[in-house]
Amino acid sequence: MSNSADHPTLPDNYGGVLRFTLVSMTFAFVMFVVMGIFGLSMRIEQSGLLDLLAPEHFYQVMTLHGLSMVSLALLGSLGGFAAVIGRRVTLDLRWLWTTFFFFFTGMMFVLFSTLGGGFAAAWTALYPLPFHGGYAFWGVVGVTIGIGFVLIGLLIYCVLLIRSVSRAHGGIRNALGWPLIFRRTAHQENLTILDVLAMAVAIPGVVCVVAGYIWLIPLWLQASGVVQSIDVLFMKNFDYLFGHLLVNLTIYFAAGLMYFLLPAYTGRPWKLGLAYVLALNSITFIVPIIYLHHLYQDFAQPLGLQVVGQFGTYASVIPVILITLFGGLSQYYHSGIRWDVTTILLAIGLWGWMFGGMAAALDATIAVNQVMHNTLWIPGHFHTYFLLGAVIFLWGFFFFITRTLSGTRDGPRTRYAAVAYGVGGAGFTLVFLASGAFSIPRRYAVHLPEWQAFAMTAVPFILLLGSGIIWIGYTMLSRLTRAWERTKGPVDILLPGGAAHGPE
Amino acid sequence: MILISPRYVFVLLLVMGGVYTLLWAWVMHSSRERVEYGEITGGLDVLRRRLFSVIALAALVVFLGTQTILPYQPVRDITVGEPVTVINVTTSQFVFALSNTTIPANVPVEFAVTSVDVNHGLGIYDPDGQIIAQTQSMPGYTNRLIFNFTKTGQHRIHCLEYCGVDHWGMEAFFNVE
Repeated sequence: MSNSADHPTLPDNYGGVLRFTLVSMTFAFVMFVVMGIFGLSMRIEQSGLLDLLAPEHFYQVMTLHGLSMVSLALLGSLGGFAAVIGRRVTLDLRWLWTTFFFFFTGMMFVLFSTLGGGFAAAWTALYPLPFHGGYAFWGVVGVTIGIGFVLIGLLIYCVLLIRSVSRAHGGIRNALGWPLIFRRTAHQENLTILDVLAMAVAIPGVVCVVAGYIWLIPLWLQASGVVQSIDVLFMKNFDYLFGHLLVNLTIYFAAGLMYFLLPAYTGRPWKLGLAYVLALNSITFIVPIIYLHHLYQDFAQPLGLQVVGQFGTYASVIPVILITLFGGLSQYYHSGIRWDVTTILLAIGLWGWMFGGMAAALDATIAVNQVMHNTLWIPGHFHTYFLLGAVIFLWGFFFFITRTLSGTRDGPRTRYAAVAYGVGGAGFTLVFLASGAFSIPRRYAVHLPEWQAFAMTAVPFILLLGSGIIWIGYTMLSRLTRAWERTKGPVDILLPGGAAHGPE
Repeated sequence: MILISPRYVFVLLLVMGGVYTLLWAWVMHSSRERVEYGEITGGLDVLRRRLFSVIALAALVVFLGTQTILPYQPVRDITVGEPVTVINVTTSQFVFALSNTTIPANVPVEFAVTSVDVNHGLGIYDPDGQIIAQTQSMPGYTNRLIFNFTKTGQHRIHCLEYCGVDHWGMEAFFNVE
């Protein structure tokens, strides 16, 4: 039976797309919990409460934690976004599963190469550290192949999106909403904010992959003895270009889940107007240059690029505030919305994204970065807008679809789990930011005695955060079997009549 | 030379974030009562346009204003002055080698920083344990940091770029007199 029988607007293969979503998000969530436990172990080590990790193990865990978190969050957001955009355009299932294969394999390479091969050059693997860290040769090769696999997975997904969405709208320019800009038409038939977002993010996604390989190939050439050394500044630029893009893409795809969910709850359309098209298109052009703020302390970098980095970062904040935050808050404002786990998580996401974004914008100011760079302020701001921004959107969406597809009810106290996530997460990240304000460096396996109180303070917040995550996770995963069965027949993630929240 | 204090930056974040938190909480609280979207979209559109103007203007002003306190040589030559002495710093895993560990106070000095192996970070901490300046140390390049120490006493250097297993213990000291 095809989906189109009951849901005439949905592609026939939508159930298959949802199975990709369920598998990707489940894998991402399980890895998230494991990597979170590793994160907790690092903070405990820094607090001096317990001696869990010798420095060499601390740095292996730190590298694995970083690489896995960025990969799983990206995979989760790609999986979630497929369920959203896959309602509007037909996504080839073979491409989707190939994406998953490359992500899964790449992440396994990283897992074994860090814990087994001893690779511990941090997730950024700043050249030439991979060749000077005393790591096993196969560990270096394994991690870089793993990153290469993740990038291929991303490339396949982005090309699929560009191909599918542009075909559905008669070309790339139409899919980017350019007629609204250049012909000043008031309306473009059947084009939504999600379509333009898909294009605006998938295009820099391809740039990210190209930049990643421009960084990876010289590493492989040196590993194989073809070249002896490479320019450090060149490598740093491409390392951060691909790394920053990778994280930014995750956030934008995750925001797309909110663009879908909130109107489903409130009945308020997230209309695509000229301002939104301009803002979304600006993502395509601005996002690839803002990585430059990672190199402010490399004084050898040309001065013009430093200034462009600050300008570009400031410019990137404007569409985020005007679209995601203003649009998201407008959805809640006097909406009569029903508070459940998903709407609580999304609301926390609107707080975390902005709060973390403010910390990021401050640090993207060169004069501030001079005294904040590579202190714990940095993990402070990115954990705020990642853990409490992008990733919380993922789990809000995952919770939503597992409940809707399984047709189960929430327990009366499940909402407390979402609150625990928010309170624990906010405390945990604020301690990071305060640590940065007190000049505590990041990536220190051992903390001076006067710094340990900060890490000690963070631990109870992490435990509270963890309890919320485990509670939410248990609820979601226990619904998976029923949700999976539902995808085998005609299915949608929105209930008939537009009701988003499912059974009480 | 204007120095930014990390603690004031944190206070600024708490103030800005606090204002946003209040706004956010007010919006969430308002959700208890439903108003038809059509009744408020006009007002929201006006507010969005005004918000855009305010944010864009504020961002431009801060951007232009902060260009005058950049830590780079062409700007510091003007705001701090020509350095009277140069301290050569060579980094290696996990050592800072300084050509001089006694540095004069209240005059411009230059740190010429390079590395023989991997990237390191020269993070300069004042006697109160607060970062006052930093630059990266890179193989193949010399980064020049010009600074004027106004506080005397023992200063500490911590490595601020992850450089391997003993990164956490890579430090050095110098005196400002």
